[in-house]
Amino acid sequence: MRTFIKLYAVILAIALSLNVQAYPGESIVRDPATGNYAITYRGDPNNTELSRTTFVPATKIDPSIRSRFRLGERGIITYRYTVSNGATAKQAIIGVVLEQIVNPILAEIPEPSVLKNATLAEFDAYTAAEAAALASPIGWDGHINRRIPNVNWLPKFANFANGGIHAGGTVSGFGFNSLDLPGMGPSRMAGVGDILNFPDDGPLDDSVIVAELDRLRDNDFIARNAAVPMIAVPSPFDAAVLLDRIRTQVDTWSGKQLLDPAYAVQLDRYMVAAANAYRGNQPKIGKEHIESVRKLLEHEHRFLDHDDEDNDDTAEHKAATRLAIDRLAARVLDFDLRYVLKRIEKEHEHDHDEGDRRKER
Amino acid sequence: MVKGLIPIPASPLYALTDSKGVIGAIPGKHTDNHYLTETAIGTLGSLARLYRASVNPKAVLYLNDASLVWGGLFDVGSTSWIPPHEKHDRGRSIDIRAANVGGNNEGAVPLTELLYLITYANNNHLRVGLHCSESSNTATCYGNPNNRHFHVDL
Repeated sequence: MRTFIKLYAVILAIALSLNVQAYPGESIVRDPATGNYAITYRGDPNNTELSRTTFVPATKIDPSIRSRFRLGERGIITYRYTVSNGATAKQAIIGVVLEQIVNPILAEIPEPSVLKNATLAEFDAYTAAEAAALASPIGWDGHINRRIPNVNWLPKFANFANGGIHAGGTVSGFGFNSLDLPGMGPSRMAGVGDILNFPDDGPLDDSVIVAELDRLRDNDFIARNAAVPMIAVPSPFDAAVLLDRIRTQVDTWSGKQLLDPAYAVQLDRYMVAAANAYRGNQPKIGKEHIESVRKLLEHEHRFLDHDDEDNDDTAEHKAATRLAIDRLAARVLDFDLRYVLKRIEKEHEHDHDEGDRRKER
Repeated sequence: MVKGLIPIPASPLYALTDSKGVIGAIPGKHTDNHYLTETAIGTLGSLARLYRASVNPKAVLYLNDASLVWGGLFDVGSTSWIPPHEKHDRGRSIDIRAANVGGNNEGAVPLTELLYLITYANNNHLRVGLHCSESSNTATCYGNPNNRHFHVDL
Protein backbone atom coordinates (compact mmCIF):
# COMPACT_ATOMS: atom_id res chain seq x y z
CA MET A 1 0.00 0.00 0.00
CA ARG A 2 2.85 2.32 0.94
CA THR A 3 4.48 1.61 -2.43
CA PHE A 4 1.22 2.36 -4.21
CA ILE A 5 0.87 5.68 -2.39
CA LYS A 6 4.45 6.61 -3.28
CA LEU A 7 3.85 5.66 -6.91
CA TYR A 8 0.63 7.66 -7.04
CA ALA A 9 2.40 10.65 -5.47
CA VAL A 10 5.14 10.50 -8.09
CA ILE A 11 2.61 10.28 -10.95
CA LEU A 12 0.65 13.17 -9.47
CA ALA A 13 3.80 15.26 -9.06
CA ILE A 14 4.80 14.62 -12.67
CA ALA A 15 1.28 15.39 -13.82
CA LEU A 16 1.23 18.69 -11.92
CA SER A 17 4.67 19.72 -13.09
CA LEU A 18 3.74 19.07 -16.72
CA ASN A 19 0.36 20.77 -16.42
CA VAL A 20 -1.43 17.56 -17.21
CA GLN A 21 -4.28 15.73 -15.56
CA ALA A 22 -4.71 12.21 -14.33
CA TYR A 23 -8.41 11.82 -15.07
CA PRO A 24 -10.03 9.10 -12.95
CA GLY A 25 -10.42 5.79 -14.74
CA GLU A 26 -8.07 6.51 -17.62
CA SER A 27 -5.64 3.76 -18.52
CA ILE A 28 -3.64 2.06 -21.24
CA VAL A 29 -3.44 -1.66 -20.59
CA ARG A 30 -1.64 -4.23 -22.72
CA ASP A 31 -3.39 -7.56 -23.18
CA PRO A 32 -0.61 -10.15 -22.93
CA ALA A 33 -2.64 -12.66 -24.96
CA THR A 34 -3.15 -10.47 -28.02
CA GLY A 35 -0.45 -7.83 -27.59
CA ASN A 36 -3.10 -5.16 -28.14
CA TYR A 37 -3.63 -2.15 -25.90
CA ALA A 38 -6.99 -1.30 -24.37
CA ILE A 39 -7.26 2.47 -24.02
CA THR A 40 -9.78 4.02 -21.68
CA TYR A 41 -9.91 7.79 -21.62
CA ARG A 42 -12.02 10.82 -21.05
CA GLY A 43 -12.93 12.23 -24.45
CA ASP A 44 -15.38 14.93 -23.50
CA PRO A 45 -14.51 17.70 -21.02
CA ASN A 46 -18.19 18.17 -20.21
CA ASN A 47 -18.83 14.54 -19.49
CA THR A 48 -17.10 12.15 -17.11
CA GLU A 49 -18.21 9.14 -19.12
CA LEU A 50 -15.16 7.30 -20.41
CA SER A 51 -14.52 6.31 -24.01
CA ARG A 52 -12.69 3.22 -25.12
CA THR A 53 -10.63 2.14 -28.08
CA THR A 54 -8.03 -0.48 -28.94
CA PHE A 55 -4.55 0.11 -30.25
CA VAL A 56 -3.37 -2.82 -32.37
CA PRO A 57 0.40 -2.42 -32.73
CA ALA A 58 2.05 -3.00 -36.09
CA THR A 59 4.90 -4.87 -34.40
CA LYS A 60 3.61 -8.43 -34.63
CA ILE A 61 6.28 -9.16 -37.21
CA ASP A 62 9.69 -10.81 -37.19
CA PRO A 63 11.68 -8.75 -39.68
CA SER A 64 15.26 -9.02 -40.87
CA ILE A 65 16.99 -6.93 -43.50
CA ARG A 66 20.07 -7.72 -45.56
CA SER A 67 22.14 -4.91 -47.03
CA ARG A 68 24.20 -5.07 -50.20
CA PHE A 69 26.36 -2.22 -51.48
CA ARG A 70 28.64 -2.19 -54.47
CA LEU A 71 30.95 0.45 -55.91
CA GLY A 72 30.41 1.01 -59.61
CA GLU A 73 31.50 3.47 -62.24
CA ARG A 74 32.17 7.13 -61.37
CA GLY A 75 31.99 6.50 -57.66
CA ILE A 76 28.33 5.46 -57.76
CA ILE A 77 27.41 3.07 -54.98
CA THR A 78 24.46 0.75 -55.56
CA TYR A 79 22.51 -0.06 -52.40
CA ARG A 80 20.09 -2.96 -52.37
CA TYR A 81 18.05 -4.50 -49.55
CA THR A 82 16.26 -7.77 -48.96
CA VAL A 83 13.59 -7.91 -46.27
CA SER A 84 12.29 -11.11 -44.70
CA ASN A 85 9.51 -11.85 -42.26
CA GLY A 86 9.96 -14.78 -39.84
CA ALA A 87 7.70 -17.82 -40.07
CA THR A 88 6.11 -17.03 -36.72
CA ALA A 89 5.10 -13.46 -37.62
CA LYS A 90 1.44 -12.68 -37.05
CA GLN A 91 1.31 -9.74 -39.45
CA ALA A 92 2.62 -9.09 -42.96
CA ILE A 93 5.25 -6.36 -43.27
CA ILE A 94 3.76 -3.39 -45.11
CA GLY A 95 6.19 -0.64 -44.12
CA VAL A 96 9.93 -0.65 -44.90
CA VAL A 97 11.79 2.51 -43.93
CA LEU A 98 15.48 3.41 -44.15
CA GLU A 99 16.26 6.34 -41.88
CA GLN A 100 18.99 8.99 -41.71
CA ILE A 101 19.63 9.27 -45.43
CA VAL A 102 20.57 12.92 -45.21
CA ASN A 103 21.95 13.68 -48.67
CA PRO A 104 19.98 13.32 -51.89
CA ILE A 105 20.26 9.96 -53.60
CA LEU A 106 21.12 9.85 -57.29
CA ALA A 107 18.44 11.09 -59.70
CA GLU A 108 16.49 12.67 -56.84
CA ILE A 109 15.04 16.11 -57.56
CA PRO A 110 13.71 18.67 -55.04
CA GLU A 111 10.10 18.08 -54.09
CA PRO A 112 7.77 20.84 -55.28
CA SER A 113 5.88 22.62 -52.53
CA VAL A 114 2.32 23.81 -52.16
CA LEU A 115 3.90 26.86 -50.48
CA LYS A 116 5.38 27.81 -53.84
CA ASN A 117 2.16 27.23 -55.73
CA ALA A 118 3.47 24.14 -57.51
CA THR A 119 1.30 22.90 -60.34
CA LEU A 120 -0.05 19.40 -60.91
CA ALA A 121 2.46 18.94 -63.72
CA GLU A 122 5.30 19.72 -61.30
CA PHE A 123 3.96 17.29 -58.70
CA ASP A 124 3.55 14.57 -61.31
CA ALA A 125 7.08 15.15 -62.63
CA TYR A 126 8.39 14.77 -59.10
CA THR A 127 6.44 11.55 -58.60
CA ALA A 128 7.93 10.15 -61.82
CA ALA A 129 11.46 11.19 -60.78
CA GLU A 130 10.96 9.66 -57.34
CA ALA A 131 9.93 6.34 -58.90
CA ALA A 132 12.92 6.44 -61.23
CA ALA A 133 15.38 7.20 -58.42
CA LEU A 134 14.25 4.28 -56.30
CA ALA A 135 14.41 0.57 -56.99
CA SER A 136 11.20 -1.01 -55.78
CA PRO A 137 10.15 -4.65 -55.83
CA ILE A 138 7.20 -5.54 -58.07
CA GLY A 139 4.04 -4.50 -56.29
CA TRP A 140 5.72 -1.89 -54.08
CA ASP A 141 6.02 1.92 -54.25
CA GLY A 142 8.97 3.85 -52.89
CA HIS A 143 9.00 7.37 -51.46
CA ILE A 144 11.63 9.88 -50.46
CA ASN A 145 11.04 12.11 -47.47
CA ARG A 146 13.55 14.91 -47.10
CA ARG A 147 11.98 16.29 -43.93
CA ILE A 148 12.71 13.26 -41.71
CA PRO A 149 14.86 12.35 -43.75
CA ASN A 150 14.17 8.81 -44.93
CA VAL A 151 13.41 6.57 -47.88
CA ASN A 152 10.42 4.28 -47.45
CA TRP A 153 8.34 1.70 -49.27
CA LEU A 154 4.85 0.28 -48.96
CA PRO A 155 2.85 -2.11 -51.16
CA LYS A 156 1.05 -0.50 -54.07
CA PHE A 157 -2.50 0.52 -53.31
CA ALA A 158 -3.93 -1.95 -55.87
CA ASN A 159 -2.61 -4.96 -53.94
CA PHE A 160 -2.36 -3.35 -50.54
CA ALA A 161 -5.01 -5.51 -48.91
CA ASN A 162 -3.16 -8.75 -49.71
CA GLY A 163 0.31 -7.39 -50.29
CA GLY A 164 3.29 -7.04 -48.05
CA ILE A 165 5.76 -9.63 -46.86
CA HIS A 166 3.83 -12.44 -45.24
CA ALA A 167 5.15 -14.79 -42.55
CA GLY A 168 8.05 -16.81 -43.92
CA GLY A 169 8.34 -14.54 -46.97
CA THR A 170 11.27 -12.61 -48.43
CA VAL A 171 11.23 -9.69 -50.83
CA SER A 172 14.32 -8.31 -52.59
CA GLY A 173 14.85 -5.26 -54.73
CA PHE A 174 14.49 -2.28 -52.40
CA GLY A 175 17.24 0.22 -53.11
CA PHE A 176 18.78 3.27 -54.77
CA ASN A 177 22.13 4.64 -55.90
CA SER A 178 24.19 7.19 -54.01
CA LEU A 179 27.59 8.85 -54.03
CA ASP A 180 27.78 8.64 -50.23
CA LEU A 181 29.59 5.84 -48.44
CA PRO A 182 27.64 3.49 -46.19
CA GLY A 183 27.29 3.93 -42.47
CA MET A 184 25.13 2.04 -40.02
CA GLY A 185 21.64 3.49 -39.88
CA PRO A 186 18.36 2.32 -38.46
CA SER A 187 15.76 0.71 -40.63
CA ARG A 188 12.24 0.23 -39.36
CA MET A 189 9.63 -2.24 -40.41
CA ALA A 190 5.94 -2.23 -39.58
CA GLY A 191 3.17 -4.75 -40.01
CA VAL A 192 -0.53 -4.50 -40.66
CA GLY A 193 -1.78 -2.88 -37.48
CA ASP A 194 -5.25 -1.48 -37.32
CA ILE A 195 -6.64 1.99 -37.76
CA LEU A 196 -6.52 3.70 -34.41
CA ASN A 197 -10.02 5.05 -34.18
CA PHE A 198 -11.70 7.16 -31.54
CA PRO A 199 -15.43 7.65 -31.14
CA ASP A 200 -14.65 11.32 -30.42
CA ASP A 201 -11.64 13.62 -30.59
CA GLY A 202 -9.54 11.24 -28.52
CA PRO A 203 -8.07 11.84 -25.06
CA LEU A 204 -8.12 15.40 -23.79
CA ASP A 205 -4.90 17.33 -24.48
CA ASP A 206 -4.08 17.74 -20.81
CA SER A 207 -4.50 14.04 -19.96
CA VAL A 208 -1.44 12.11 -18.80
CA ILE A 209 -2.22 9.29 -21.17
CA VAL A 210 -1.72 11.48 -24.27
CA ALA A 211 2.06 11.35 -23.95
CA GLU A 212 1.98 7.62 -23.29
CA LEU A 213 -0.24 6.99 -26.30
CA ASP A 214 1.94 9.21 -28.51
CA ARG A 215 4.99 7.25 -27.37
CA LEU A 216 3.29 3.98 -28.31
CA ARG A 217 2.35 5.32 -31.71
CA ASP A 218 5.78 6.85 -32.37
CA ASN A 219 7.44 3.53 -31.62
CA ASP A 220 5.04 1.37 -33.56
CA PHE A 221 7.71 -0.44 -35.60
CA ILE A 222 10.58 -2.92 -35.26
CA ALA A 223 14.04 -1.48 -35.83
CA ARG A 224 16.98 -3.26 -37.44
CA ASN A 225 20.42 -2.03 -38.47
CA ALA A 226 21.07 -1.47 -42.15
CA ALA A 227 23.89 -0.09 -44.25
CA VAL A 228 22.69 3.24 -45.63
CA PRO A 229 24.51 6.11 -47.33
CA MET A 230 25.64 8.39 -44.51
CA ILE A 231 29.19 9.54 -45.26
CA ALA A 232 29.64 12.26 -47.88
CA VAL A 233 32.81 12.02 -49.93
CA PRO A 234 34.60 15.42 -49.93
CA SER A 235 34.94 17.15 -53.26
CA PRO A 236 37.69 17.69 -54.20
CA PHE A 237 38.75 14.38 -52.74
CA ASP A 238 40.67 14.57 -49.47
CA ALA A 239 41.59 11.25 -47.87
CA ALA A 240 42.24 12.75 -44.42
CA VAL A 241 38.86 14.50 -44.31
CA LEU A 242 37.08 11.36 -45.50
CA LEU A 243 38.84 9.25 -42.86
CA ASP A 244 37.74 11.78 -40.22
CA ARG A 245 34.14 11.40 -41.42
CA ILE A 246 34.40 7.62 -41.32
CA ARG A 247 35.76 7.85 -37.77
CA THR A 248 32.85 10.09 -36.77
CA GLN A 249 30.46 7.43 -38.07
CA VAL A 250 32.31 4.57 -36.34
CA ASP A 251 32.23 6.60 -33.10
CA THR A 252 28.45 6.10 -33.01
CA TRP A 253 28.65 2.31 -33.18
CA SER A 254 29.58 1.53 -29.60
CA GLY A 255 26.37 3.21 -28.48
CA LYS A 256 24.43 0.98 -30.88
CA GLN A 257 26.07 -2.15 -29.46
CA LEU A 258 27.78 -2.77 -32.80
CA LEU A 259 31.30 -2.41 -31.56
CA ASP A 260 33.21 -3.36 -28.43
CA PRO A 261 34.61 -0.11 -26.90
CA ALA A 262 38.09 -1.56 -26.34
CA TYR A 263 38.21 -2.81 -29.92
CA ALA A 264 36.96 0.61 -31.08
CA VAL A 265 39.98 2.25 -29.46
CA GLN A 266 42.31 -0.03 -31.44
CA LEU A 267 40.54 0.76 -34.73
CA ASP A 268 40.50 4.47 -34.01
CA ARG A 269 44.21 4.61 -33.23
CA TYR A 270 45.05 3.30 -36.71
CA MET A 271 42.48 5.50 -38.43
CA VAL A 272 43.80 8.65 -36.71
CA ALA A 273 47.31 7.66 -37.72
CA ALA A 274 46.15 7.07 -41.31
CA ALA A 275 44.42 10.46 -41.50
CA ASN A 276 47.49 12.20 -40.07
CA ALA A 277 49.74 10.42 -42.56
CA TYR A 278 47.62 11.61 -45.49
CA ARG A 279 47.58 15.10 -44.04
CA GLY A 280 51.37 14.96 -43.86
CA ASN A 281 51.53 13.79 -47.48
CA GLN A 282 52.76 10.30 -46.53
CA PRO A 283 50.36 8.11 -48.52
CA LYS A 284 52.40 4.93 -48.13
CA ILE A 285 52.20 5.13 -44.33
CA GLY A 286 48.53 6.07 -44.54
CA LYS A 287 47.84 2.95 -46.59
CA GLU A 288 49.70 0.77 -44.09
CA HIS A 289 47.53 2.06 -41.24
CA ILE A 290 44.36 1.44 -43.25
CA GLU A 291 45.51 -2.11 -43.97
CA SER A 292 46.09 -2.56 -40.23
CA VAL A 293 42.47 -1.67 -39.57
CA ARG A 294 41.35 -4.10 -42.27
CA LYS A 295 43.44 -6.88 -40.69
CA LEU A 296 41.77 -6.25 -37.34
CA LEU A 297 38.40 -6.54 -39.04
CA GLU A 298 39.41 -9.68 -40.89
CA HIS A 299 40.37 -11.26 -37.61
CA GLU A 300 36.72 -10.97 -36.53
CA HIS A 301 34.91 -11.79 -39.78
CA ARG A 302 35.84 -13.53 -43.01
CA PHE A 303 35.14 -12.44 -46.59
CA LEU A 304 34.38 -8.85 -45.72
CA ASP A 305 35.18 -7.75 -49.27
CA HIS A 306 32.38 -9.91 -50.65
CA ASP A 307 30.02 -6.97 -50.84
CA ASP A 308 27.01 -8.98 -51.95
CA GLU A 309 27.08 -11.43 -49.09
CA ASP A 310 26.72 -11.08 -45.40
CA ASN A 311 26.56 -14.57 -43.96
CA ASP A 312 29.99 -15.98 -44.57
CA ASP A 313 31.40 -16.11 -41.08
CA THR A 314 33.06 -19.35 -40.05
CA ALA A 315 31.10 -21.73 -37.87
CA GLU A 316 33.50 -20.77 -35.09
CA HIS A 317 32.68 -17.10 -35.53
CA LYS A 318 28.98 -17.76 -35.74
CA ALA A 319 29.17 -19.77 -32.54
CA ALA A 320 31.03 -17.03 -30.69
CA THR A 321 28.79 -15.45 -28.10
CA ARG A 322 30.34 -12.04 -28.57
CA LEU A 323 32.40 -10.64 -31.39
CA ALA A 324 34.28 -7.37 -31.19
CA ILE A 325 32.28 -5.91 -34.08
CA ASP A 326 28.96 -6.69 -35.73
CA ARG A 327 29.43 -8.36 -39.09
CA LEU A 328 27.51 -5.77 -41.11
CA ALA A 329 29.37 -2.93 -39.35
CA ALA A 330 32.66 -4.65 -40.20
CA ARG A 331 31.59 -4.99 -43.85
CA VAL A 332 30.64 -1.31 -43.93
CA LEU A 333 33.94 -0.15 -42.45
CA ASP A 334 35.97 -2.43 -44.70
CA PHE A 335 34.08 -1.13 -47.74
CA ASP A 336 34.65 2.49 -46.71
CA LEU A 337 38.37 1.93 -46.19
CA ARG A 338 38.74 0.11 -49.51
CA TYR A 339 37.00 3.08 -51.12
CA VAL A 340 39.60 5.44 -49.60
CA LEU A 341 42.42 3.27 -50.93
CA LYS A 342 40.87 3.05 -54.41
CA ARG A 343 40.36 6.80 -54.60
CA ILE A 344 43.91 7.51 -53.50
CA GLU A 345 45.20 5.10 -56.12
CA LYS A 346 43.05 6.78 -58.74
CA GLU A 347 44.19 10.28 -57.70
CA HIS A 348 47.78 9.04 -57.80
CA GLU A 349 47.31 7.67 -61.34
CA HIS A 350 45.71 10.95 -62.35
CA ASP A 351 48.70 12.90 -60.96
CA HIS A 352 51.06 10.59 -62.86
CA ASP A 353 49.17 11.09 -66.11
CA GLU A 354 49.21 14.85 -65.62
CA GLY A 355 52.97 14.74 -64.94
CA ASP A 356 53.60 12.64 -68.05
CA ARG A 357 51.57 15.06 -70.15
CA ARG A 358 53.58 18.01 -68.80
CA LYS A 359 56.84 16.22 -69.66
CA GLU A 360 55.64 15.55 -73.23
CA ARG A 361 54.89 19.23 -73.67
CA MET B 1 -1.11 32.11 -28.75
CA VAL B 2 1.04 30.55 -31.45
CA LYS B 3 3.06 32.90 -33.62
CA GLY B 4 3.98 32.27 -37.22
CA LEU B 5 0.95 30.33 -38.40
CA ILE B 6 0.12 30.93 -42.04
CA PRO B 7 -2.95 30.16 -44.12
CA ILE B 8 -2.86 26.89 -46.05
CA PRO B 9 -2.37 28.04 -49.63
CA ALA B 10 -4.69 26.91 -52.38
CA SER B 11 -3.42 23.87 -54.27
CA PRO B 12 -4.75 21.46 -56.86
CA LEU B 13 -3.86 18.64 -54.42
CA TYR B 14 -6.57 19.42 -51.86
CA ALA B 15 -9.78 21.31 -51.30
CA LEU B 16 -10.34 23.93 -48.62
CA THR B 17 -13.95 24.46 -49.67
CA ASP B 18 -16.80 22.24 -50.76
CA SER B 19 -20.14 23.04 -52.32
CA LYS B 20 -21.30 24.53 -48.99
CA GLY B 21 -18.34 26.89 -48.58
CA VAL B 22 -15.25 26.76 -46.37
CA ILE B 23 -14.94 23.22 -44.99
CA GLY B 24 -15.39 23.16 -41.24
CA ALA B 25 -16.31 26.81 -40.92
CA ILE B 26 -18.99 27.46 -38.29
CA PRO B 27 -20.60 30.90 -38.59
CA GLY B 28 -20.50 32.72 -35.27
CA LYS B 29 -17.80 30.43 -33.86
CA HIS B 30 -14.98 30.27 -36.35
CA THR B 31 -14.71 30.67 -40.08
CA ASP B 32 -10.97 31.11 -40.48
CA ASN B 33 -9.86 27.59 -39.63
CA HIS B 34 -7.10 26.72 -42.09
CA TYR B 35 -3.86 27.93 -40.47
CA LEU B 36 -0.73 25.82 -39.91
CA THR B 37 2.98 26.20 -39.44
CA GLU B 38 5.04 26.39 -42.63
CA THR B 39 6.59 22.98 -41.91
CA ALA B 40 3.19 21.39 -41.34
CA ILE B 41 1.92 22.81 -44.64
CA GLY B 42 4.90 21.28 -46.48
CA THR B 43 4.19 17.90 -44.90
CA LEU B 44 0.50 18.19 -45.73
CA GLY B 45 1.44 18.88 -49.37
CA SER B 46 3.52 15.68 -49.46
CA LEU B 47 0.66 13.65 -48.02
CA ALA B 48 -1.76 15.08 -50.58
CA ARG B 49 0.70 14.43 -53.41
CA LEU B 50 1.04 10.81 -52.29
CA TYR B 51 -2.72 10.46 -52.31
CA ARG B 52 -2.89 11.67 -55.90
CA ALA B 53 0.17 9.70 -57.03
CA SER B 54 -0.48 6.37 -55.38
CA VAL B 55 -4.12 6.09 -54.45
CA ASN B 56 -6.47 8.09 -56.61
CA PRO B 57 -5.17 10.39 -59.37
CA LYS B 58 -8.55 12.04 -59.78
CA ALA B 59 -9.22 12.75 -56.12
CA VAL B 60 -8.11 15.47 -53.74
CA LEU B 61 -8.13 15.55 -49.98
CA TYR B 62 -10.88 17.63 -48.39
CA LEU B 63 -9.35 19.60 -45.53
CA ASN B 64 -11.41 20.34 -42.47
CA ASP B 65 -10.22 22.22 -39.38
CA ALA B 66 -6.54 22.93 -38.89
CA SER B 67 -5.85 25.82 -36.46
CA LEU B 68 -7.08 29.36 -36.02
CA VAL B 69 -4.81 32.24 -37.01
CA TRP B 70 -3.30 32.60 -33.53
CA GLY B 71 -3.65 28.92 -32.65
CA GLY B 72 -5.18 28.40 -29.23
CA LEU B 73 -8.48 26.89 -28.25
CA PHE B 74 -10.75 25.88 -31.09
CA ASP B 75 -14.16 26.89 -29.87
CA VAL B 76 -16.39 24.39 -31.61
CA GLY B 77 -17.95 22.50 -28.73
CA SER B 78 -21.41 22.89 -27.32
CA THR B 79 -19.94 24.78 -24.35
CA SER B 80 -17.93 27.89 -25.19
CA TRP B 81 -14.17 27.96 -24.60
CA ILE B 82 -13.89 24.36 -23.62
CA PRO B 83 -12.37 21.69 -25.84
CA PRO B 84 -13.02 19.29 -27.71
CA HIS B 85 -10.86 19.70 -30.76
CA GLU B 86 -7.76 18.37 -29.15
CA LYS B 87 -4.39 19.25 -30.60
CA HIS B 88 -5.82 21.86 -32.97
CA ASP B 89 -4.31 24.69 -30.95
CA ARG B 90 -0.70 24.59 -32.17
CA GLY B 91 -0.80 24.72 -35.96
CA ARG B 92 0.49 21.19 -36.39
CA SER B 93 -2.71 19.17 -36.76
CA ILE B 94 -5.43 18.96 -39.37
CA ASP B 95 -8.58 16.97 -40.02
CA ILE B 96 -9.13 15.32 -43.39
CA ARG B 97 -12.60 14.25 -44.33
CA ALA B 98 -13.14 10.47 -44.32
CA ALA B 99 -16.17 8.45 -45.44
CA ASN B 100 -19.08 9.04 -43.04
CA VAL B 101 -22.82 8.84 -42.88
CA GLY B 102 -23.40 12.50 -42.10
CA GLY B 103 -24.07 15.37 -44.44
CA ASN B 104 -20.39 16.12 -44.87
CA ASN B 105 -19.37 13.26 -47.11
CA GLU B 106 -18.41 15.27 -50.18
CA GLY B 107 -14.84 14.41 -51.24
CA ALA B 108 -14.34 12.07 -48.28
CA VAL B 109 -11.57 9.46 -48.39
CA PRO B 110 -13.30 6.08 -48.90
CA LEU B 111 -13.00 3.41 -46.23
CA THR B 112 -10.91 1.19 -48.52
CA GLU B 113 -8.16 3.81 -48.61
CA LEU B 114 -7.86 4.52 -44.91
CA LEU B 115 -5.28 1.90 -43.95
CA TYR B 116 -3.08 2.76 -46.92
CA LEU B 117 -2.92 6.43 -45.98
CA ILE B 118 -2.25 5.56 -42.37
CA THR B 119 0.62 3.22 -43.34
CA TYR B 120 2.17 5.94 -45.46
CA ALA B 121 1.76 8.35 -42.57
CA ASN B 122 3.45 5.91 -40.15
CA ASN B 123 6.37 5.46 -42.54
CA ASN B 124 6.79 9.21 -42.46
CA HIS B 125 6.48 9.73 -38.70
CA LEU B 126 3.03 11.29 -38.83
CA ARG B 127 0.44 10.35 -36.25
CA VAL B 128 -2.90 9.63 -37.83
CA GLY B 129 -6.03 8.60 -36.05
CA LEU B 130 -9.58 8.19 -37.20
CA HIS B 131 -11.95 10.38 -35.22
CA CYS B 132 -15.67 10.71 -35.08
CA SER B 133 -17.55 13.43 -33.32
CA GLU B 134 -20.66 13.28 -31.23
CA SER B 135 -20.82 9.55 -31.67
CA SER B 136 -23.35 7.87 -29.45
CA ASN B 137 -21.27 4.72 -29.41
CA THR B 138 -18.32 5.29 -27.11
CA ALA B 139 -16.51 2.18 -28.31
CA THR B 140 -16.04 2.64 -32.02
CA CYS B 141 -15.75 5.05 -34.86
CA TYR B 142 -16.50 2.32 -37.41
CA GLY B 143 -20.01 1.61 -36.26
CA ASN B 144 -21.13 5.19 -35.86
CA PRO B 145 -19.13 7.14 -38.38
CA ASN B 146 -20.69 10.50 -37.69
CA ASN B 147 -18.51 13.33 -39.02
CA ARG B 148 -15.67 10.85 -39.38
CA HIS B 149 -12.29 12.29 -40.27
CA PHE B 150 -8.58 11.63 -40.16
CA HIS B 151 -6.88 13.59 -37.49
CA VAL B 152 -3.27 14.06 -38.60
CA ASP B 153 -0.46 15.43 -36.44
CA LEU B 154 1.90 16.84 -39.05
